[in-house]
Amino acid sequence: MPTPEQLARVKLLVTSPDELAYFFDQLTSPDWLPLLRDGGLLGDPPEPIEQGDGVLFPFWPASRYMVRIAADAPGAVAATLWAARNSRNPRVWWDAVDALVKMPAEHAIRFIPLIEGWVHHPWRLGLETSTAKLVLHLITDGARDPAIELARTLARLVRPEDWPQSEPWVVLDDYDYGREIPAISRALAVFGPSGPAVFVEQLEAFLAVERPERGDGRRDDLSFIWRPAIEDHEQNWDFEREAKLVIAIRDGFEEVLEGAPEELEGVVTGLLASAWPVVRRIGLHLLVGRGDQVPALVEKILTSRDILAEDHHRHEFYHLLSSRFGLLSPAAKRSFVDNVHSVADATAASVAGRWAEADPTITRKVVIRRWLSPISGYLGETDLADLEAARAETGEDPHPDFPSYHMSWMGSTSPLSSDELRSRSPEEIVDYLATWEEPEGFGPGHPSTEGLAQQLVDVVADDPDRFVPSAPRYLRLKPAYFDGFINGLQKALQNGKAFDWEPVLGACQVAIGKVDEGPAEGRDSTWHGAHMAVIRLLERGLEDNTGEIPLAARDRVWALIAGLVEDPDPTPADEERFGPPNMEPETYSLNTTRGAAFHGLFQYLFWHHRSAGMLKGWSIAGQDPEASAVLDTHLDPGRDPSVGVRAAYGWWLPYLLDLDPGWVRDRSAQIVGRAETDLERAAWEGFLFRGGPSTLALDVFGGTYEAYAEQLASMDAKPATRARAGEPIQFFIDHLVQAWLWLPDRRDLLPLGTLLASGKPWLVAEVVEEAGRLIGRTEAKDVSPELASAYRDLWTFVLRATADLEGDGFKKALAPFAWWFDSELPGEWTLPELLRLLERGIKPDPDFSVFRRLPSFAADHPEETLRVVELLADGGGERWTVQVHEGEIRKVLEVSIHSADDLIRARAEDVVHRLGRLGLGGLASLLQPPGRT
Amino acid sequence: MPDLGVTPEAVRDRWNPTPKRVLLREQLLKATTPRLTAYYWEAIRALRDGDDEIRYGIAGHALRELQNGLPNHLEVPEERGRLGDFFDWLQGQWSKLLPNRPAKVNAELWTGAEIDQPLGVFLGALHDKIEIYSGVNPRRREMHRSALGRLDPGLSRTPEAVQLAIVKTWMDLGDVFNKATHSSNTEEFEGAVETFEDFLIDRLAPKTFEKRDAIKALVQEAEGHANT
Repeated sequence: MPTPEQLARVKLLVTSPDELAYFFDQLTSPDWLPLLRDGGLLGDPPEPIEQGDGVLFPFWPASRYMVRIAADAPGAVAATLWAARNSRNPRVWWDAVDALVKMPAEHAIRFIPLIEGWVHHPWRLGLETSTAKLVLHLITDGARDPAIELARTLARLVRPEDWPQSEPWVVLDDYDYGREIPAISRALAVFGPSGPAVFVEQLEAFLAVERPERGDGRRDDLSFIWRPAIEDHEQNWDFEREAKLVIAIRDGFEEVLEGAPEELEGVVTGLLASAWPVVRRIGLHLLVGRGDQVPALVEKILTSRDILAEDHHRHEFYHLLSSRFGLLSPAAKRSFVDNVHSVADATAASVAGRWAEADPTITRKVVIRRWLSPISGYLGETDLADLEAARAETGEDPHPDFPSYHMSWMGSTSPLSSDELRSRSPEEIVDYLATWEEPEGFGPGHPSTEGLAQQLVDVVADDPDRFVPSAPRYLRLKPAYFDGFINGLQKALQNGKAFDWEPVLGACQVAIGKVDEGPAEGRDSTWHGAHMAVIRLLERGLEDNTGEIPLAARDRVWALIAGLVEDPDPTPADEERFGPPNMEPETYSLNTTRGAAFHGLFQYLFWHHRSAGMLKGWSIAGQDPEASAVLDTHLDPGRDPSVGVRAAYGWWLPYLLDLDPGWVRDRSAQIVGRAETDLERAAWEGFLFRGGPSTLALDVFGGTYEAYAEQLASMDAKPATRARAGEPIQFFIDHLVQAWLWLPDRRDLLPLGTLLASGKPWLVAEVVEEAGRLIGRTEAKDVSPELASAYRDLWTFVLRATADLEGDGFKKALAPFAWWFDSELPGEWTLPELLRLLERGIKPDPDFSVFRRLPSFAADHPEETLRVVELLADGGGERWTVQVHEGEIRKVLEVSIHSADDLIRARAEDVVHRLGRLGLGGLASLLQPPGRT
Repeated sequence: MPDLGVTPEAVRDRWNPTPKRVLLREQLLKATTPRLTAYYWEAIRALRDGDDEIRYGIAGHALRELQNGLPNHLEVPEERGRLGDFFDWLQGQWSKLLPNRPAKVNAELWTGAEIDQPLGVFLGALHDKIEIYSGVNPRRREMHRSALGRLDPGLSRTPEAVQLAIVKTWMDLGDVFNKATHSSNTEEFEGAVETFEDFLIDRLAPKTFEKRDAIKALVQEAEGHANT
C-alpha cells in the first residue's frame, strides 16, 4: 500500500503534466486514491483551452486512473467524480461515463441528468457511444427507469432553435445510431413491451417533425419508399434514421415476443393504433410469422377494409394474407373478397378523370389481380374468372407486394448482337438501320438507337474497307448511325487499319453541311454531334500513322476544315455558361466544334509539311496561304471572341515556333500580346503548359514574359485557379528557372528578379518551391557539378533579392527550401543551408521532405543532422509532425547516439528525451545499454 | 595545470565540464541571459579551479545570484524584503535601548519597569516590522513559484501540491548557497550544487525516459510489486 513518504517523493519526481499523466497511467491500485486526493495530487480537471477558432480538451490523468479502478473502488471513484461534475471538459465527462459503466448501477443514477446534458452538448466528443454502453449496463443491472430515460435521450431527435432553417439531428451519427439503438432496443426487451416502446415514441416524434400532417388529417409517412419492407430486404435503403428506428422497434418487439409470446396481441394492437402507417406496418409484420397464435386478431385485420385500402400497408398485408388466409372462416374469406372488389371499385373511381391516360377499368383489374392472386386456391368460380380476366388484360406483376419497386441498369442495348450485325452485308445493315424502329419504353434490356449505333462502331472498326463504299447511304440515316459509322472508322485507324478515304471524305463534306431542324429536346442524336465525329476522324487521319490521309486529298481535307472552323459552336452565350473558368480553356477548345476544328487546322499544317518531305525554311503563309488567312481572321476578337479557340493557338504555339518562327513572331502581339486579356492569357498559358524556354521563345515572347511577371508581382495573394489540370504560375516559373539554369548568358534578361524582389512572400515561396520541385525530380546521374553550382548561384540570387523581406513573410517565402533539401544536390551545401534557415526560425515546408532526406546524410554529417532534429524538436508544438517521422528521426539518432564524441552522444540522448516528451516513446530503446531489453 | 590548493585532483574532477554541464549551459543560455548563464559556469569553474579558501564562497555567491536574477529576467516582480535586514534593524535598535536600564534577572528582563517613550517607540516599530516581515516568506515563495512557472510552463500546470514542493526545494537550495558565503559544509554544498543542476535540467531539458523509469519504479515499490 502506498505511504505518505512515497507520496512526498512523487511530488518531487512528477513535475510536469506529461510526467503526471505517465504517473497516473502506471497506477493500478485503488489504494492511491485517498492518498492522492488528500495530498492534493488529483488536481482539478483541466478546463478546455480555446485557441483561435478551435478548442483543446486536455486529458485529466486522474480521471483515466479512476476509470481503471472504478470496479474496485466504486464508492470512492463515484464520490470523486461527483465532486468534479461541474467540469466543462468533455474528456472528464467521457471518463466519468466510462467509470460508471464499471460500477454497480446505483452509483450512476444521480449522474443521469448530468449525462443528458453532456451528451447533447456540442463538445460531446463521442460521449454518445459510451453512453450507449452505460444504457446497456444499466439494463443488465436491472435499473429500468434510468435505462429507459437514457435510451430516450440517445434516440431523441433534437430540433435546433432555428428549425426549420437548420436540420433536426440526433446525438449519434448515422452509423452508430444504426448499431447502438437496435442493440439497446433488444436489451430493453427484458423489461417487456414498455422497453422497445420508448423507440416507438421517438419514431412518432421524428415523423411528426419530418412528415407534416396532410390536409385531410391523415398521417402519410411515405414509408413504402424509405422502408419498403419491415423485414430485412434488398429493397430497403437503411440510410435514414427513421429506418434505423424501425429496425430497433422491430427487433425489440421480436425479442419481447421471443420470451413472452402471450404479449403478441397487446403489442400488435398497440402498434396498429398508431396514427403512422410505418408503426402499423411493424404490427402487421410481427403478425406475419406468428399469426397462428392469435387467429381472431388475424381475421379481424384481414377483413378490415380500411387496412386493405391503405396502400402503405401493402407489403406486410400481402404477406399476412398469403400466409394466413387459410385460417379465416368461410364468412371472413368472403368478406375479404368483397372488400377487394370494393377497394378496386373505389380505386378505379379515384383515378377516373385524374389524368388523360388513366383507365379506371385497368386500374380496377390491377387491384383485383394483386389481392386475389395470392389466394387463388381459395376462390370460387366467379372470383377466379374475375382474376383470370384481370391477369389476361394486365399481365403478371413480378412484385405485387411493393407499391414501388426500385431497379437500376447501365448502358444501352442493341436489338442485334454484333455477330448478327456482322453476318449481314453492308447493304443489308444500312437497310436494317433505315427501317428499324425503337420500341416505346425504357429500362434494362430495352433496345435503343443508341445501343444499335454503338454496336455498329465495333462492326465497322473490324473491317472498314467493307463498309466504306456505302458511306453516302449513311447520310440518309439518323445522325446517330452516321456518328457510329464515322467513329467505327476512327477506331479502325486507332487499331492500325487503313481504308479508302475518297468516299469517306465525300460523305463527310455532305455531313458537315447538314443542320439539325426542330427542337433539340427529345432528339436522340444530332448532326452537330456527327460534325464532332468528323473532326476526330480527320485528326486521327492527319497523324503520322497507318491509314494516314494521302497528300493528294489535301484540297478535300482543307475544304472540310475550312467549313468546320466557321461552325458557330461555341457561341458567346455557351462559352459564358460552360467555358472558362468552369472548364480550362484547352479542354473547352477540344469540346466545341470550332475549337476542335482549329486543332484539326493546326494538325493539317504539320501534316502538309510532313507529307511534303519536311522541307527546311517552311513558310506557313507561302505553303498554306488559305489556312494562314483563316488563322489571321480569327485573331480578330471582333471576328472570333472565343477563349476556347484562342487556347487552341496557344496549344500549338511551341510547334509553330519550330515550323515557322517568322510567322509566329509577326503575330505574337495578336496571339499572346502582354497576356493581359482573357484571349491573350488563354493562348499564353497554353504555350506555358506545352512550350519550353528556348532561346527562340525568349526572343519572340520576351515582352510577354516580362509583362506576365509584372502582373504576378502586383498580386498580394496567389490567384485562385479553377478547373485547371496545371498551375500556369508554376509552369511560368518553371520556364524562368530552367532558363536561369541552362542559359546563363540570358540571366540578366529574365524577369526572375521581378518575382523575387516583388516583396510578395507567396510569390517568392512559389519560385523557391518550383525550383526545388524541379531539382527534386532530377535523378542523381543528371545532377552535374555545373547544375549543382547553378542551383547554389540561384539560391544566392534568391537570398539577395529577398533581403528586404522580414518576419512571417520572410519565413513563408524561404520555407519551401525543403524541396531543395530533398534532392540530389550535395548535402555538403544543402545541410548547412537548411541549418541556417532553421536557426533563423524558418520551419521547412513541407517537413516530410526534410525528414525523408535527412537519414541519408547522417553517416557523413552526424553533428549537423542531429542539430536539424534538435531544431525541429524545438518547434515541438506540432507533435504530430515529428511523431509521423519517428522512423527517419531514429535513423539519424542511431548514428549520433553511437558517436565516439561524448558531447554528440550526450546531445543525442538529450534529443531522445525531448522527443520522448513529444510522444516518440519508441526512441527510448536507443538509450538502452547493449544487452538490456 | 596551475596549483589549485590542497584539494586532491580526484575530488575536483567532480566539477569537470562534462557534456551534461555543457548542455545545461546551452539550455540556460537559450532560456535566460548570458549573464545568468555565466554565474552558473563560473560557479562550476570555481569549484573545479578555485582556491580552497574561497571556492565554495564564490560558487555559492554565483549560484545565489543566478537564483535571485531569474525572477527579474523572467519579468516576475521581485520580493526584496529579507529577514536578515530585519535582524540588522532589530540589533541596532536594541543596542540603543540597553544602556541605563536594569540588567536581566534570571529569565526575566525589566519586569515591572515602566515603558518609557523610547521603549514605546521601539515596541511600536517592532509591531509594524513583525506585520511586514511575516509576509516576506510567503511572498518570496510566490515569486519563486512564478519564476519557475515561467521557466518551465509545464510546472504551472501541475497540482499546487507539486508546485509547492518544487518551490521549497528551490528555496532550500538557496539557503545552502547563502550559508556557503560565510561557512561551509562541503559535502552538503557540493551535493546541493548537483541537485541544483539536476533541478535546472529537469526544468529545461528533462530526461523524459529516466524520469519515467523512476516513476515506474516508485509506483511498483508502492504497490508492492517492485520485482514484477
